[in-house]
Amino acid sequence: MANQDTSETIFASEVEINGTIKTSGPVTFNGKLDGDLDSGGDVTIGKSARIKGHLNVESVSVAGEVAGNISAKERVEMLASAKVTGDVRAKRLKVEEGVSFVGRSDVNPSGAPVSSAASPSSASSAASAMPPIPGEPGGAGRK
Amino acid sequence: MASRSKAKVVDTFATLHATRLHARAPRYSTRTDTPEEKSESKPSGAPERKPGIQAGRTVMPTTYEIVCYSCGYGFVIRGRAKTTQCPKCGARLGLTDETITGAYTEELITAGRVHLKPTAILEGGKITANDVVLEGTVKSGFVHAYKTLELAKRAKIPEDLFEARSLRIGPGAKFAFNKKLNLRNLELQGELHADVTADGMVSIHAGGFFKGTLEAEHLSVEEGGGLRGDISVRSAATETETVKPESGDATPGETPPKDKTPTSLQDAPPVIRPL
Ligand SMILES: [Zn+2]
Repeated sequence: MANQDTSETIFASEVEINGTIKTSGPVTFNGKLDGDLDSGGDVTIGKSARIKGHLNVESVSVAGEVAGNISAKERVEMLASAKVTGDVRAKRLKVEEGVSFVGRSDVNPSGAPVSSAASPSSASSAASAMPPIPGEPGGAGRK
Repeated sequence: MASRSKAKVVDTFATLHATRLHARAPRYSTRTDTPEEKSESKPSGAPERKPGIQAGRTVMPTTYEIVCYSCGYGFVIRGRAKTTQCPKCGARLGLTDETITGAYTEELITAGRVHLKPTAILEGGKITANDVVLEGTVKSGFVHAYKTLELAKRAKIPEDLFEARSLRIGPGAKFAFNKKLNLRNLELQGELHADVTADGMVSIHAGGFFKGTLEAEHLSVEEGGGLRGDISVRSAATETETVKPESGDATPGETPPKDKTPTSLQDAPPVIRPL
């Protein structure tokens, strides 16, 4: 994780922002954001947070609502109260029971190719290879 | 001890009385030992005795969930038995657990558990059980698990030769199914490629991996678990007005919320609904 010497930026629950937040350090966001959040550090989306936009982060812990894609270099954690509508891409994922998540997920911690994993006796090609997730930097969903 | 009185007759009242006294014992204790003294006085290696727990264990027999293989009704029995009767349809149900180690061609019905060991080969036989653990091979026949089918690492089973209410993929196992799986619970310690609808809990443990489309009531992913595909998890408890994404690149599903409570494979509810 990148961030450790940088001080944390905290957005209180009364804060409403229209636009993009860019920071290199850790962020705790509890307010309303209509726009993207790009951070080189760890991001905490509080329970009261409502975000309409994409998250591009190192790692993120979500307890509030995110309507947009989440792309993390390392880890995405969805706490029980999280509501995520959008695609999730990360190296590691943790999901607590109780989350609401509608979207596409692309998380394979082992990093091994998964297309040839069928048991010999089982039918293969149950699921075809997933197209790249829109919203990944350079992907269709990013501005 | 808290009380020196002894029950001469062990009846319901005496049992409850003893349980209550036992639970209260530390509160009414007149001993003034320090915690250090207490630990010294205990024999080394002895488990810590918790008030109430031991007495509780003696008065509460273990409960077992049974699903009737005749009518599909789920109910609970207390204590171990070899047979029981379905309270709904009256069918006499065998409850024995069976282990199969070789070629098997017959029909086997039990409301217990059937374990097909790695050397087991099902050839034309039909297994009907509450729980089935498959480590061996199913060549022909059928496996019907009214509760949970567990597929272990070396298990082999064609997708059209089984039916299960819940599915567990064991550590190191990899399965891919073309047919859509309608399950209650799904537990992954291994890998599964499939399209799954689960009206209960989907648990992906560390080392587990799911690929495909997943529509579930509840989802939990341990760190180290993998998830790839279109996911729709709308917990009934969290189903409220949610902000909509500004762009159309997210892929919300169309599943309406269902009124279900979370369950896990290990801790199923005391009364299970008819299948
Ligand atoms: Zn019955």
